[in-house]
Amino acid sequence: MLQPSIPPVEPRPSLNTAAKLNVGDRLLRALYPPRANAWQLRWLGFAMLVLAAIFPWLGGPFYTRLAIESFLFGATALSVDILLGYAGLLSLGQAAYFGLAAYISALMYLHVTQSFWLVLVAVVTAVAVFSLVLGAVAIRAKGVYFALITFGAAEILSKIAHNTRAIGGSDGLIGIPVPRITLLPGVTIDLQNNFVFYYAVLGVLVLIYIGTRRILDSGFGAVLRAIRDNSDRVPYLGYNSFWYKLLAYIMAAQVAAVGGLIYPLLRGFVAPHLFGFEVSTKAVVMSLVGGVGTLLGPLAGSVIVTFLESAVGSYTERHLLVLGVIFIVFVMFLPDGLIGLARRLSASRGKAAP
Amino acid sequence: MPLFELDRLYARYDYAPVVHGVSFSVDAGEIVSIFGRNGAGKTTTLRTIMGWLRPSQGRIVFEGVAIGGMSPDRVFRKGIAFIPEDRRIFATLSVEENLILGLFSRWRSGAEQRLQLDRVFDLFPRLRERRRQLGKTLSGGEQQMLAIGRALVGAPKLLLVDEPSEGLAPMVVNEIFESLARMRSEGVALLLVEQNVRRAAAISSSCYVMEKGRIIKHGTPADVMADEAVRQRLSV
Repeated sequence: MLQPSIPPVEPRPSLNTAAKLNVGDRLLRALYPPRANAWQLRWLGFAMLVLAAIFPWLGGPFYTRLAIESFLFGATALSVDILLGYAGLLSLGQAAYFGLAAYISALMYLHVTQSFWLVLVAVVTAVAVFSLVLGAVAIRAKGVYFALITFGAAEILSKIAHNTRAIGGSDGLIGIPVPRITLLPGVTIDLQNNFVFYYAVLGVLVLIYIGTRRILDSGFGAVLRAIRDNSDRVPYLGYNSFWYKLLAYIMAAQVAAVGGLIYPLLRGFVAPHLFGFEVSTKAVVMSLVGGVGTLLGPLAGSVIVTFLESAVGSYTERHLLVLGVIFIVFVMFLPDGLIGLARRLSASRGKAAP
Repeated sequence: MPLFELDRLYARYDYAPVVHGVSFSVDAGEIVSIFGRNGAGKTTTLRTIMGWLRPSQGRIVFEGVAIGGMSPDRVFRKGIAFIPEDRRIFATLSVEENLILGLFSRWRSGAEQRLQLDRVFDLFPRLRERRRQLGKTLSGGEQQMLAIGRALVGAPKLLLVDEPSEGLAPMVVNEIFESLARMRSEGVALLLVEQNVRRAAAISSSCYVMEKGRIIKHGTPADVMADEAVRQRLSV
């Protein structure tokens, strides 16, 4: 049902030429994925970046902050795509890492420190440990059981947060102070300013996208795709697929945690629902809407779904109903998402006009 | 000491015993064939060597080291590659990516990697032409070439091949067998399981015939082909 769409492969510069590229070229190549052939995808990535760059000048403060939120959920959607599009694992519990990061970050700002970097280290460590343990258990299970274990783990965390008075119980934690982030000595990022906040998060998201793309275009990514294609065959080539899946899982957990790390600074509160099924499934719907296996699609999907939800939410409280309908429509009619649709449209146009 | 030795191997699927005390050996740079009808236990023997099944009794020795019960990825890294009957190439990866996968599990310098890739492309020029194509767009023969090439880039010392000619056109079968013979001349030992007895015997230095999990005949290709009872069993 959730067959990831795989972009056809394009000629790739040989290892020789790759080594000669300078840093700027390499950044450009990262933004323009070499294996996701199509110029469509490159232009889409470029168009999305331009649109994102000018958006705060058009949108106004409410929509700017909504866009930031969509970027944070975009990281979670990207993490779903790493697992589903590359390793072939459907996780219904990426909210576990979003929520974990959000709670750790909120608690530390409230009680421990105002240093963003200390919080970052704590979150990365905690998520690494948690994902190592949960991943080691869940990856041994096959198919739907992997989805159920990840889903169950997120629900358990949600219930713990819900029932623990010390971390706010069902009310969550409110009044989280917004720290000043010292980027370099003398250079601080003032998150009170919407524009600064927006571009900082956009920059982080672009860096994550480039990093993920580079890693998954390497031999590691090829092994993951081989596992998704035919997991029985991979051991006969000398790979222990367990370790590759586990690494991918930990990587995805870190990406999902980025959203949670920043979320409390945007909204000033955290609550048990951040661990919830809604966040996890929304991430799956977002990557499905954009196009699984493209990495760029989930980012587009997260913006579309977040803004759609906000628009629907002003008419009715039943925005989950809309989310569900979107999900069904895409699974049935557009399983390769909007990017897949765009690719097919341009392919058919290419045939019509030779 | 032979490169590879199987000493009274027993293997079973749960409660169904399949292989009963099979012994044979392969020397470096030699082609050894195993013949036998469907269900004789040939494929099971190969799978047990690769670690897909744990031997219930007996020893598997490769380069003087007992490898029985090791996981498939470790067996591969010892230097034994396996090409299963159904080829199992990666459908959504390009030809080149399929080949690189055969290389990636052991560290190699970039120059050596290109050398190994070129070696495969020299063996199968057709793969060089199609290096950017996805695995699923290849024909059956090309898929078999890719499967052989993918096993070969890892520079194995012993290659297990399960029915390489299965379902291929005679022209393609010629090409595949030529490439197998050429591999031997490059110093790779081969253990070949094949229904196409005549073709396989022609390139082998030693043949074994299996029936119901036992070896019933062992000898040079000429010996085996001369045995009327065996020829009838194999319907050659």
